[in-house]
Amino acid sequence: MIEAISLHKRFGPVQALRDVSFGVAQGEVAAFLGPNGAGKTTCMRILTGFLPASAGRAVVAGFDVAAQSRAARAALGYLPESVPLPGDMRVREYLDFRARIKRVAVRQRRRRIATVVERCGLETMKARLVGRLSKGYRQRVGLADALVADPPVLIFDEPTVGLDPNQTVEVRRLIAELGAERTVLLSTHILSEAEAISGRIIIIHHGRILIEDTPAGLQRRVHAHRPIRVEIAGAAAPACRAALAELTGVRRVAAADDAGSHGGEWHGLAVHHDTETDLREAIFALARERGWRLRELHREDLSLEQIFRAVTGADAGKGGADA
Amino acid sequence: MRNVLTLVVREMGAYFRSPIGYSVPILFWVLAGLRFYLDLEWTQGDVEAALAQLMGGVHFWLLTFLIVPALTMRLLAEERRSGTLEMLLTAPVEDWEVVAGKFLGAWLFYAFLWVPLPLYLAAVIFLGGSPDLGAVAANFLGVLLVGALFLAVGLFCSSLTSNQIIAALMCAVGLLVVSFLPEVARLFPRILWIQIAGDQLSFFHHFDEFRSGVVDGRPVVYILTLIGLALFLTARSLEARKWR
Repeated sequence: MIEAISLHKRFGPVQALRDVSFGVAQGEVAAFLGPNGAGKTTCMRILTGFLPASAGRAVVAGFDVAAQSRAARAALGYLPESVPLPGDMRVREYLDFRARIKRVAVRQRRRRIATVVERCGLETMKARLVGRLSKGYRQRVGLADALVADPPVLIFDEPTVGLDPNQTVEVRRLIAELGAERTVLLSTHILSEAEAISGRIIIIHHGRILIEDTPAGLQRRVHAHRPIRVEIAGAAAPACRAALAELTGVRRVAAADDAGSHGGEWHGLAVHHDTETDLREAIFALARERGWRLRELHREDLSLEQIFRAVTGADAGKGGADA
Repeated sequence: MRNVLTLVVREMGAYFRSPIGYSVPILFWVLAGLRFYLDLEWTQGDVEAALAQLMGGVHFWLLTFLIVPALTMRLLAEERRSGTLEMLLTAPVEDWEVVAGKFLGAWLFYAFLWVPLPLYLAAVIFLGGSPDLGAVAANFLGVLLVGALFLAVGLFCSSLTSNQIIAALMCAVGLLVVSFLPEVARLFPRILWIQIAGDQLSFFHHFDEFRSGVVDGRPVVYILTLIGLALFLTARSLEARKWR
């Protein structure tokens, strides 16, 4: 449903996208993962027909976004990053305007608006001025707008930025629901979010696709780079470290980054390893055997930078020289 | 066309919800009404002269030069600044439809400013005057055409920037240039064709034909052409985002 074929984009001297190719099938949620300035927004703007590509082709719902721009735009719902909305309109009125401009048939308009209002949890806000809404509700209005014409393809640029944790969960759930029957492409710079809502992760960095994989596949690739964070009491720190270092696959055991924050008998440690297997069980077993007390045991989330290092490091091993 | 209609309705709504939607009509009605009243008094009831002043006197031009930038500065500059332009242009809408919708919305609002005119006429007739309605209609057609042209220039200026103040300033300068093309031409006294062209481009000259009650095809075509040019440039300026 979404197909990008060797997209290039140049802004004067800046090469924003280089040879970006990917596809998203119907019923699939794909996530663009990358830091700010990676080219996510530029790529989405090309897909929505707002900007033309310098080279390459993009197809949405079977329509070329450059040659059949209007048909392509009619098939997609787009939520831009900052959710720009006209502040002078009321929520209902705005959705009505958007439904008209998107050519929702007269007879369906009322029903479609009621549906998206309900689906996005806007019932109590229908009569509010858009300009007075909180960030979370603005986001919902943007989502409702994207959905109002019931398009088969949805493109969301950073849909959860600026939301509080509850709202984030809600929006993710909504996107997962939408992804069941539609094609969704979203962008994020949070790995755990990409993993939670998408079936495929496309990592983009400096305008180039570094990697395209399922969350599980990506997990496997970066797994070995995720240290395990433990907090142990019941033995001296050096003894704990030595015992942990004995486990198969452990490369080294370091004091956790935030170890200074909790002194006393608890030792915060980061177990670095290079194994595919999950060491958490082994660590728990070790703690039980030694009679340690354990109050924390989890795999650290990787920052994007760490992921890039992990991914590009792996590539470099095979002879690539990116990053 | 339905998209254009939707956009026109949206634009009218935006006017009536903004401070401009209240302040501009009030300013215009008070000043134009006062002027009309005073003209009637000074000319001792010469309705035709007072109407001619209302639709083409110095005050008319002053007000128009003030009002048009105020009406047009927001149109596209604000959409650009707030980012709603992206929302608009990623909907299945053509650039020209956006331009047409904005333009017609502004023009209808401008026409709305003239709502008191039939009231004045009714009052004058009620009081026993007998204005030449045909001449008034011709003059009013001129007013609407000139308004359309000025608004189109303002819309174009608004499309060039994301700053409303700059849009208003550019609009004011643009209106002066359009209005004083012959004077601009006189800056090049040695080039004959510019002189001839400049005289033909005289706006006030064309406008005076309307004021004298004559509707000639040529000035109509001339003004419509300029409007088309301004709107065309506006659409190109929207499209310019794609050329970077």
